[in-house]
Amino acid sequence: MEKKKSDLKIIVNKEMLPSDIPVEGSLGLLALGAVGITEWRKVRDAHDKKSKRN
Amino acid sequence: MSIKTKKVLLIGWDAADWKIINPLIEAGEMPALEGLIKEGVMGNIATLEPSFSPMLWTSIATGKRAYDHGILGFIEPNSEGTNVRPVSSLSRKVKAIWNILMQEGKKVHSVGWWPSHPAEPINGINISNAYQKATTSYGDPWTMERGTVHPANKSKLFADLRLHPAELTGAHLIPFIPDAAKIDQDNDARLSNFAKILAETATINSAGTWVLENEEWDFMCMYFDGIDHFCHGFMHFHPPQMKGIPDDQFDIFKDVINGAYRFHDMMLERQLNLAGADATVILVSDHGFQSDHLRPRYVSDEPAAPAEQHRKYGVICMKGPHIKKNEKIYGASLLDITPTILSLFGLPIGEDMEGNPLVQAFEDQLEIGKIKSWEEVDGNSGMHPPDKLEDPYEAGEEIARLVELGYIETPGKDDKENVENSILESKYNLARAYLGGDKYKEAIPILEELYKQHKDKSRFALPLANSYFYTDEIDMCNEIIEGFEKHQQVELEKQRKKVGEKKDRKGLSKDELNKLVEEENKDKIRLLNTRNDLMSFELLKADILLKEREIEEAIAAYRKLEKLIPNSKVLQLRLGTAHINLKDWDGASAAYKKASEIDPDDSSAHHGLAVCHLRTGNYYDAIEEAMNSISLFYYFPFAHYHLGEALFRIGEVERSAEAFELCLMMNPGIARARNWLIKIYDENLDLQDKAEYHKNYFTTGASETERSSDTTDHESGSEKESSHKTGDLADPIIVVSGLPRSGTSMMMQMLEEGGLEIYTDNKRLADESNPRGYYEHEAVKSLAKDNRWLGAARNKVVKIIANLLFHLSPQHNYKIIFMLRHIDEVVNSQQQMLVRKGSKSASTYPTNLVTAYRKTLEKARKWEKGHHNVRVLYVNYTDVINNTIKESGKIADFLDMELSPEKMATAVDKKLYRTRMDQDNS
Repeated sequence: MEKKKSDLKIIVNKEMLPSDIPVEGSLGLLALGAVGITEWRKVRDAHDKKSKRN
Repeated sequence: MSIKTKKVLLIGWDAADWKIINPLIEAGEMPALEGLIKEGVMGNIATLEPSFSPMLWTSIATGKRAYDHGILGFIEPNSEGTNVRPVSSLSRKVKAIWNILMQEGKKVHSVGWWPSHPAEPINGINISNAYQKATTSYGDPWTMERGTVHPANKSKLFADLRLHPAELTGAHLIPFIPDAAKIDQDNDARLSNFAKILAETATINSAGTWVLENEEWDFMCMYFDGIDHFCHGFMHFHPPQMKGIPDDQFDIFKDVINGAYRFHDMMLERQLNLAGADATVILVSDHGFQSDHLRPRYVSDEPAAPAEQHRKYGVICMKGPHIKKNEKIYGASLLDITPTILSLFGLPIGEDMEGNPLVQAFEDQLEIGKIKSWEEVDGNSGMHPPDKLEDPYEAGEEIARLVELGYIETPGKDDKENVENSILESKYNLARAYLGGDKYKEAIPILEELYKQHKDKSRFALPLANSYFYTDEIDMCNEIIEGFEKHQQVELEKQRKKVGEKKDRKGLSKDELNKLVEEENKDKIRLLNTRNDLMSFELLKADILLKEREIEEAIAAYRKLEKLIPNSKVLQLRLGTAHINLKDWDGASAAYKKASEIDPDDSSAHHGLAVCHLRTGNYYDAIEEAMNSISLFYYFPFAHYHLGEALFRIGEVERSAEAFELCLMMNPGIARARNWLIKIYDENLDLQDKAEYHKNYFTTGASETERSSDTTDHESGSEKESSHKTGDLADPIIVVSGLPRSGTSMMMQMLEEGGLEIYTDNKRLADESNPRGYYEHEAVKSLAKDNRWLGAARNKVVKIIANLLFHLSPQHNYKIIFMLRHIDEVVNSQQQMLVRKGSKSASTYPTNLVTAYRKTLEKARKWEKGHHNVRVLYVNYTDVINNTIKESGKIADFLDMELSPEKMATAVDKKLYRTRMDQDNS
C-alpha cells in the first residue's frame, strides 16, 4: 500500500505528464483530470491495437 | 474595506470530515489540503436540518434554507405529476450564486452541482449532476441525457471526457482495496459499486479540470459526491473495527475511506495548480460523517435513513489574496458561503439570505453591502425560463443509484404511489427545514397533516410532539405522546413475538436462507427502532417535567431512562440541565462530563461544564470549558455570556466586555449581558459613551422582538435553546418592592396565599406594626455588598426595599411588584411605627425624607427602563385594599402564574389600613 501510494505521488507531483504513462493507468493520471485521462487512453488504446495486431 | 477578488473556485466535497482528514494530514498523506490550510483559514461548518445533500448543496449555493429555495429532498414529482424524477434544477425557486454573478457580468461555470440537471443556460459551461453516471455497459453507446451539458455544442467534448467504471484497472483499485482479488464478484457487488463511485469522481474531475485549463473564468464551482458515497458504502469497515464486522471483511475494505480522501487530495492538488495563485479557493463539505465509536451499528428502515450516519459539522477551508493565513475560523454555517462569495466580489448580500460573510477569514475589515433581495434584480441570470419542462423518464437511472445508496426507498410499482410518496417526503422535509430554522409554528400544520394521515409513524409523531413542546403547547404534546405510545406498545408486542418465533430452516436453499436471515435482521432492527421511539417519548415526558419545574421528578425519569440508554448524550445533557436547576453543581458536572466523554465535540456539554465551574468559583476552568464550547460552536451566545462572566471574576474586565459584546452581537435580546456591559463600562472601564449606548439601546434602537427576547434558562441553555427565543423572562426572582410601609408585607402575604414560595428566614417576627409578619430575609439587607444569595431566590418571592433594587445582579431576571402609596401616608405610617417602637425621632415630621423618597421612586423608574432583565408592575396600595380581587388578577397575569385571586384576597385585612390620606396616591 505504502509503495503504491509513493509511486502515485511521483506521477501526480509532476507539473507535466510523466514520460512513461503506464498502460494500466494510475490514480495519479485520473487526478490530473482531462489531460491525464486523455493521454492514458491514447497509450492504452495504442497498446490494445498493437496487441490485437500481434 | 470593500474588496474585489478576481476569481473564486468553490470545491464541494460531500461529507468530508476533519475527523478523518486530521490524522491523514498529520501523516503527510493529504499535502494539497495541508498547503491550502497553511495558506488560508480552516474550520468546522455547521450543517442544516435535514442533512440531505441536495437540499444542503442548494443552501450552500443560494444562502437560503430549503423553505426558501424549494429543493425538498432526493426525488420530486415530474412536471406532469405522472411519476417521480430526481430532484432537479427546475424546482429551485431562487437564484444560485452563479446566477447572481452572471448578472453582475462575471463569467461563471459549474460542474456537477447537486441538483443542477437540466443544466441552466449560464454564460459559461454548465455540466449537470446527470453527467457522471454510467448508464450502459462498457462498449455500448453511452448517451448523455438531454440537458446535461450547456452549451449543447460542447456535449460531444464532455461526453468523451467521462470515465466508465469498466475502464478502471487494478492500478486504480488496488490502492484502495489491496486484496480486491479475494472478492467473489459473482455474489458481492461491493467492488463494482466502488468502481462506479471512483469512475464518477474521476469524471467530475476530468470535466472540471478541462474547464479550468481551457476557459476564461471568474467563478467556477465543482461538486464531488465521492467521499459521501464511499462513506455510506464502506465506513463500517473503517478502523477501528466495529463490533459485528467479520475479520475478513474488515481486512479487505479497511483502507477504502482513507484512500478516498487521499485521492481527493491528489485531485485537489491539480485543481489548485490550475486555479492559480490569484484565485480564492473555497473547499467545503455539507456535513461530516461519523467515523469513530459514534458510528451507528444499525440505521432505521425509514426513507433517507443513511443520513443518520452524518455528523453535524463539515469542513471549510479558504485561501486567497485577501484571506488570513494559517488561522482557524469559528461558527461557519452552510448559509454563509454565498454571502462570503458575494463579499469577495465586492457585491452586497441579500437581506433575504440567512447567513453572513465569514468576516473573520478576511485580513481586513470587510465593508458589507446589503440589498433587499437579489431575486428582485432584473437581467439575464442564466436561470431556466419558467415554462421549461422535463422528461421524467430520463431520470430512472439516477433514482436507481439513490435506491442503491439507500437514500430513497425502492419506488413502488405504482407510479401514482411514487408520486404520493415523494410529495409526502417533500412535505416532511419542508417541516424539518422549518424545525432547523426554529420555525416551529410553520412546521406544526405540516406535521399535523402528516401525523393525521400516518398515526403509526414515529418520524411524524415525534417532531410534532417536540414542536408542541417548544411552543409551550404542552397539552397537545401530551396528547400526541399518549396516543402514540399506546400504538407503539402494541407494535412492540407484535414485533417481540415475531422476532422470538423460530422459523424452520430445513430444506432451504442458500438464497432462501439468506433471504430469511435478511428478513430476521430487518425485524430485529424494527424492534430496536420501536424501543428507541418509546424511549424518545419517555425522554420528552421527562423534558416536560423539567419544563414544568418538577425537577426532582424529571431527574427520576431521566435516571430511569439512563439504565436503558447509558450512553445517550442527549439524556446526559438533560440531566445536566435538571441538576443545574437544583443548583446541584456536582450532579450537573457529572452529567455534562459524561456527555462530553460520549461526544467530545458537543459544545453544549462543554458549556454546561463551564457553568458548573463558574458557579463553584473555578473561574479558570470555567474559562477553559467556555472556550472549548465556543471553539466547537461559535454562534453560541450563552457560551460567550458565561465566558464574559468568568473573565470578569478573574479581573480580565476588557476581555469580559468583549465576550459580552459578542454574546449580544449574536443575540441582542440577552438583556443581562447588556446589563453586565453597562456595569463594566460605567464602573470599571469608565467608558460612559458605551454605557449610555447600552442603557439607551432598548428605548431607541431595539425592535419589539429584541425587547422581548431575553431567553430561556441561561445557565443551562443548549445550542438549541440559545437560539430559541421566548417573550417572557425565564426563572425570574419575584421581588416585592416599594418604600418602607407602602404595603410590601401585605403583598408578600397575598403572594404566599396565592401559592408562591417566599424567600424568607423568618428572623424578623410579627409585631403590632406588621401583625401578620414582615416576610423578610437578613441577606437582603447586605445586598449592596453581597448578592450571591440571589440565585437561591429564583422563582421565589423576596422583599427588597426600593433603595436596594439598584444592587440587583444583572445575572438574573426579575419580576418586580412595586407598591405605590401616597408618600404622606408612607411617612405617617413610618412615624406611627416609630411611635410604637418608642423612637424619639417620631416626634418631628421628616420633610427632607419626603423629597428623598420622591427621588428614590424616580430613580427606580429610570433604573427599570435601562434594565431589560427586569419587568415591573406598579400596584396601588389603595386599589388593592378597595378592589382586592381585581388587583390580584392583574398580579397573577403579570407573573404569568396560576395564582388564585380569591386566596390572595384573604391576606388583605382592611382594618390594617390605619393611615389614610383623603386623596389619590402619588
